[in-house]
Amino acid sequence: MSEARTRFTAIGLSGSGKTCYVLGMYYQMITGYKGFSLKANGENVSRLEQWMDNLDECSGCEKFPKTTSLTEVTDYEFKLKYALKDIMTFNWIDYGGTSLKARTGNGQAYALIMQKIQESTALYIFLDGAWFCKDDKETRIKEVKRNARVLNDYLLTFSDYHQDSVPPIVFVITKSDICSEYLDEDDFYDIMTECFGSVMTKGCRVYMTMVSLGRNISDDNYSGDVDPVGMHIPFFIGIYHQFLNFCLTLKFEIETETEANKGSIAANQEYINEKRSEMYNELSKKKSFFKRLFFDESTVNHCKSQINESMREINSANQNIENNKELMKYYKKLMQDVSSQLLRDSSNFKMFEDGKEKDFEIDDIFDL
Amino acid sequence: MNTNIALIGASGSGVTTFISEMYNDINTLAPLVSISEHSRAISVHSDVITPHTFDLIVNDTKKQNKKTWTFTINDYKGTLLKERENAGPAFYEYNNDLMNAKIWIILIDSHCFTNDTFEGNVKAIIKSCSRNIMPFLSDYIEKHNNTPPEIIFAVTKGENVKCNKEDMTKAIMEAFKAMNQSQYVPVVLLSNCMQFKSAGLAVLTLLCNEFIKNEKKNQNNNNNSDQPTKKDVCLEILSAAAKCLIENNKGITVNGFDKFSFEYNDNKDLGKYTAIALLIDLGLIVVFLLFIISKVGLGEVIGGIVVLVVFVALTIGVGNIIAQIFFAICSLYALVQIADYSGKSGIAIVVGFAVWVIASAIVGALIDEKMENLPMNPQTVKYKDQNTAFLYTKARERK
Repeated sequence: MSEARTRFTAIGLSGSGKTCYVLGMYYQMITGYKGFSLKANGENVSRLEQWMDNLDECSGCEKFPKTTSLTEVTDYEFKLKYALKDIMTFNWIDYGGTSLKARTGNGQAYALIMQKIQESTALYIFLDGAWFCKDDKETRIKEVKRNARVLNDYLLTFSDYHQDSVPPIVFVITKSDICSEYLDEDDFYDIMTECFGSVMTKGCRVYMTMVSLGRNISDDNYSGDVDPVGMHIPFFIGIYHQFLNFCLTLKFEIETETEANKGSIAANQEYINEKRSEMYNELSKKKSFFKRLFFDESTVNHCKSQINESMREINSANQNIENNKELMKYYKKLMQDVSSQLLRDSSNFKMFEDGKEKDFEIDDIFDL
Repeated sequence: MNTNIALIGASGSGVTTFISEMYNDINTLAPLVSISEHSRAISVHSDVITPHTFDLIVNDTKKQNKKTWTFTINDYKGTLLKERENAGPAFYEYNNDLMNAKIWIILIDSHCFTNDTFEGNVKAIIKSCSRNIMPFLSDYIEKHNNTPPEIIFAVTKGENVKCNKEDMTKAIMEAFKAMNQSQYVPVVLLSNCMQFKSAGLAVLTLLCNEFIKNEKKNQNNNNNSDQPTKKDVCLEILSAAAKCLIENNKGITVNGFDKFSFEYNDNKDLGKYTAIALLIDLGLIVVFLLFIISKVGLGEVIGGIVVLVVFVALTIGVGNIIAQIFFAICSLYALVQIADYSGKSGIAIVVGFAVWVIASAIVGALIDEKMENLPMNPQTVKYKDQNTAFLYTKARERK
């Protein structure tokens, strides 16, 4: 069975929590969330397991992964599973946030990031929760705006690469445990329009969500309990869109193939009818004893073999149609599982489409 | 046939102790069942992997013959689970062994069940082993065409557990929820102090399930019911051994017996047959009542009652096939009776049938629903040998 493959890229300044997000996402998903689980690839498993142990056992700065260095770029491959069966594979690139500012000064890493942005089917913008920890709304927005300058440039690059249709962009506010008390409902819209106005335009779908490694994690010099909050939502959003695209493409391909199969069935049926009448005509010739005696069977045999061949083609086309139906049914069920989970979580994220805040709906999957 | 069993557990969870316990447990059953270490294969990574190959010998005293069953248990150094690739080439052998083992025994240290809250216990299991085992399990399922290995969870050092067995099982299932297991997974409690013999029973249970699974596969591939099946042999061995274990250890704490009910679960037809029986009973009562009203002949009434009694006796007491044949005869008889009458009697009989159909449908539906919720009856199981029935009853008692 074919698998959907996709790439997600995270854009965020140094210390914004990109690596911690990968860790938190894995921490939450490795033992399963509503039947969904994640599996990392190869040697990344032991690295993530080591980080998880540190997260649980250490305190202070040692609790978290070290800041990713300027030249370090890690390409994680995750498999999303449902009941431990594969749904889709996605790649997630992690790098040192300083690369974004260093740009060509860190040539190799920068080139790689740009390449990944181009390949991405969803872009994640990481906003450091600490930026929002200001009592005054204006100061908060000012702080975000200051940092958003660098990020906006990458957003524009992403839009340039995908001019026909901009893939979803997910804004992830990290460290929600420390900043959520400073933010109210209206702030999200204001932040988006004031700081990231370029994507609050027609044709762009933007999401905004908050994540944390634990509500009390910062207590007593970061020795609080690890209990990830909302870590699954950002990548579920990406997966929803990618999977929907995959299913719609698959549906189109299947429909085209079904049409071709139906055409083949009709043509073969017609051919069979033609050959049958030819065979009957031939057989009607051997009415008399003498004609029967000298009757040449080769034409009849030839017709028979051609009829059999056409029958085989009809059966194979019918089998193809049935297989495709089954395949579509399988993916439709998975799509429903992913989308209904996201719908259940929709109170924990905001969605902006064409510059306006909208409720998240899963009408798109009814097209399947 | 050699069955590979993988013992998986974090360092210090009692992996090596499990093997010696299992060895001692099963040997307490001698001469009925005994175990001997057939050979100790040498691994190139002998410091971290020790494979033990055992022969399980079952003496059938009545038939004066022996049956031998070979299985291998691999004892791994617990640190391999966390060290993974960092452990060097030994990891790849370990990974390969896990992928080839048909049975996994996952050992959980009892310290995971000493927390004040349920969530605390779940978290402890996740930290100590679940999150390290899940990547291996995912790989296994991927490599075996979406089929998981046979799994049993064994909680070691059971004397330290501070919660009841139900909470213990729930916590394990929660920590391994990515498996999305709808079916019951056995959990056994092991303890040196309490003299449980659960390690032996755990291994016997898993071996039995493995054989049943294989047999199912063989039957699907080659539907030849005349040949004696391995399933009977394996059930015979296992039930004899497990019976001895239970009888000799009154305090045993094992809730893995539900796995024995593999064959018994498939008894939904029971409800249907009972419903059919009642439908026919009801129908016949209506037919014969109408018959009596229209005809009032003593001979026919007695005849009808005799038929009814014989039918009920056959349905309940004998097999389903005989009941079905008799059902056909009764239906034919009823139709003949209808054909014999015309006018008011005929109409009365037809109306009676209509009433019968409606009443029977309602009764049938109700009975089917009720039967599905009823506990399974040992009398109706496919295997009626005493040992299996005994095991089944024990499992019910323990539940």
